[in-house]
Amino acid sequence: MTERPESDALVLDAAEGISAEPITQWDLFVTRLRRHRLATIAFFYMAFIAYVALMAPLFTCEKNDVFCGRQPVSMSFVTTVIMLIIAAGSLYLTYRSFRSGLRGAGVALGAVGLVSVLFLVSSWGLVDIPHINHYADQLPDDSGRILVNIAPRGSLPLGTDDLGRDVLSRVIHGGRASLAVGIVVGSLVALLGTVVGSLAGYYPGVVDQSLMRFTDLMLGLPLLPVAIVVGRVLPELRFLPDFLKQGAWGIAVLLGVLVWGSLARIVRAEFLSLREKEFVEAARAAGANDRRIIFRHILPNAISPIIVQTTLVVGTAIIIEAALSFLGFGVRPPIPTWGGMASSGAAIAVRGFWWELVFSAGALISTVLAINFMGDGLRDALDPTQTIERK
Amino acid sequence: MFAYIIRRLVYGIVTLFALSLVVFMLIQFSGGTPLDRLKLNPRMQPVIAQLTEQWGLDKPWYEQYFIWLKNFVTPIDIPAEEGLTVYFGKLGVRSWVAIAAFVVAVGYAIATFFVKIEANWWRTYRAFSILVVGAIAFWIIKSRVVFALNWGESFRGDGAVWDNIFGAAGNTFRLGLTALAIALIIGIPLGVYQAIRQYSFFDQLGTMVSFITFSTPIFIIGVLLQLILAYQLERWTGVKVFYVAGMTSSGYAELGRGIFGLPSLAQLGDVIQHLTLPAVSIAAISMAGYSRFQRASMLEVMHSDYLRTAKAKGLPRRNIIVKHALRNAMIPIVTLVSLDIATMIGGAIITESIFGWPGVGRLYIGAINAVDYPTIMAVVLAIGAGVVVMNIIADILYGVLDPRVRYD
Repeated sequence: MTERPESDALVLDAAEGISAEPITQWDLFVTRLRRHRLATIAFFYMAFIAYVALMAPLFTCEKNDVFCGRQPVSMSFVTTVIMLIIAAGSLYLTYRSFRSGLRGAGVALGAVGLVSVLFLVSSWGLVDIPHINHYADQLPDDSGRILVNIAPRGSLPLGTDDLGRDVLSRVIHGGRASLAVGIVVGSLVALLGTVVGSLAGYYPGVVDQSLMRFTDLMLGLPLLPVAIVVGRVLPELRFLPDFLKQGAWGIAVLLGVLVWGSLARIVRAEFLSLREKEFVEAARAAGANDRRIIFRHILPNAISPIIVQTTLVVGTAIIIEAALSFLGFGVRPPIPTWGGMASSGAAIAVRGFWWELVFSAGALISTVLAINFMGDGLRDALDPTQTIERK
Repeated sequence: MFAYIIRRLVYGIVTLFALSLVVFMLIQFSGGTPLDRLKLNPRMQPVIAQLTEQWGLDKPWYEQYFIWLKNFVTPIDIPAEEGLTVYFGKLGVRSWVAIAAFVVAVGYAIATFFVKIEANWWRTYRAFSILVVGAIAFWIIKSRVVFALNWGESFRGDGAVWDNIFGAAGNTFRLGLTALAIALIIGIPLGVYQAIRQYSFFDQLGTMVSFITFSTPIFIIGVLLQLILAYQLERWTGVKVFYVAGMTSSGYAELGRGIFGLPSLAQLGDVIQHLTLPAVSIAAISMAGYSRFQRASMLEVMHSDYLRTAKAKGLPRRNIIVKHALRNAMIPIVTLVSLDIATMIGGAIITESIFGWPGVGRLYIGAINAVDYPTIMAVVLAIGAGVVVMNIIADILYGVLDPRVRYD
């Protein structure tokens, strides 16, 4: 790439704009991230996927609604308006943050708000939705026959599956499982990995030893076999609350609990090196207690590997969830997931009905690809020691 | 180093113990029993009662766990007629070759403790001799000549778990080793070439393709390979090129016999037709990983000082790349390959269930569906032990190949 060294570019940008605003770490981050074109596209693509999955009832084929070319939308007016407001607000926030490089606090607040809304709505969407899941409401044509295995055409853009369900609707709703897995695994891994890693890295001796032995133990587990056995027994476990037994929730929590080990190791290594730095010593000399040193001095400096590793783990977790659903041990069949659709799509693709497989697999691959690109871009943008030439 | 290995082994055993406890508890608390299918038939009542008694399903779960654990580590007395003497009587050529290799490898491994040779080939050879010894030891365990543990009887009524697992493990190894070979043979040269021609069109293309492959779930690769290279290819050409299920065709035995008990050419072709697609689908993701990794480590070496010295001396480019750069750039790959075995086992579970390959993965899926917990426990622990051992081997290999590494 033939770009100017970024420090020069920033100085020049600042000089051209003639503003009194200081250049913060956040500005540097946004500038570097925007240079990574693929990562930027990936960010917007993920936002798009998230919005579509979040707003699924707006776009999908409710029983005979406008997208099926028959009757108007059956959703209540209030729900529609609320969803549109949320969608518009979040879109505007994303736009602003990319446009002007919003100050850290505002973006963090917006992101937390967005994530919690996504969290709530995706969980709501994962319970049994009759008109998407069951074949009592297949799409009949004008003469009342059920449209089974219809190739993509105008009114059914992605065709129908072997039970006559609209593939587009199911692909959109299937995104919710992957999204929920991504969000739950992301938060759990970031939380557990950071807590364990920072405690082990900051307190040497017994705490470090015991926590790291536990982490080694978790890392030593064979991931897929254990996930399969838990996925198999999950709906039947007696002591679990109901919402964990059905849909992607239980799977998401399970994966989150299993995969935080690598992050904990990375955070510990960061803490071990940062703990010996002069600025930490200075803070301690100034009388800061452990809590303040950890949260104000060390953790902010260790944030970039946390973000990058979490992103990569989320990509892996989405793949594993899809694999579990494909094998039949993840989210159970009537509820749409991309892995489950790939499984049933593969069975009918042999007879030439390729669309269910291709579109569900396409959605899955592009989402994981986007997450990995985001991880790549974040790694480049968050690491100030890395120059742009060496990727 | 010896103390280090012992410590790692102890941690590994603790991990396996915890793993067995967790899996056992999960199965117990799920409420499903292996007899659920029989309960549908009212005439099965006495059979259910008898099996419950026989398998100890009426005992509390911790008692069942300890019984299972005690059996799991108890060797079986193998009757004399099955033992060593009779077995050696019916050994074929392959067995003799294997035994000869074993003797050579063991003698070699012992010799390394007394001989000190500071040469690269010696280091490499010594490192790989560990793998050879492991493979031969596996073969001996599998053939049940020397040793077997009481892993119980399968609840599905298909015999001893020990035999099932080691029978299936052979098939999984056939698949996994082929996949590993494909991944290494294609992945490493690809990475080297990309590093030599950094930022060329080919490099960019390779990066893009490995990124996409890396983000593709293995089951989608497998299903697409089936659809395109098996079904569509047959439809277009009218010739059956690749098969989508099983290890061999049903008429495999009639395809002639080769010399020395080896498979004939027709049989070999049949095996390859079955093996290619599952092996490629497992190899694809590893291949992407290896080429990325090899590219990165090669680039790092290419920018080092001693390579600049070699260039300045006027050595031919080919020499520099092969002798100076590649040797050092291969070291991290060895570790990666050892660690990748765990990923490959996971991939094998999915691939085997797609391609109907009678390996450990398919055994596991079948056992899970039937709540056949002796088999489930044994497979999970065998895979877990494999992961532990491969991790240790990765560390040792790293130290052997790279003298800068020291263990603490």
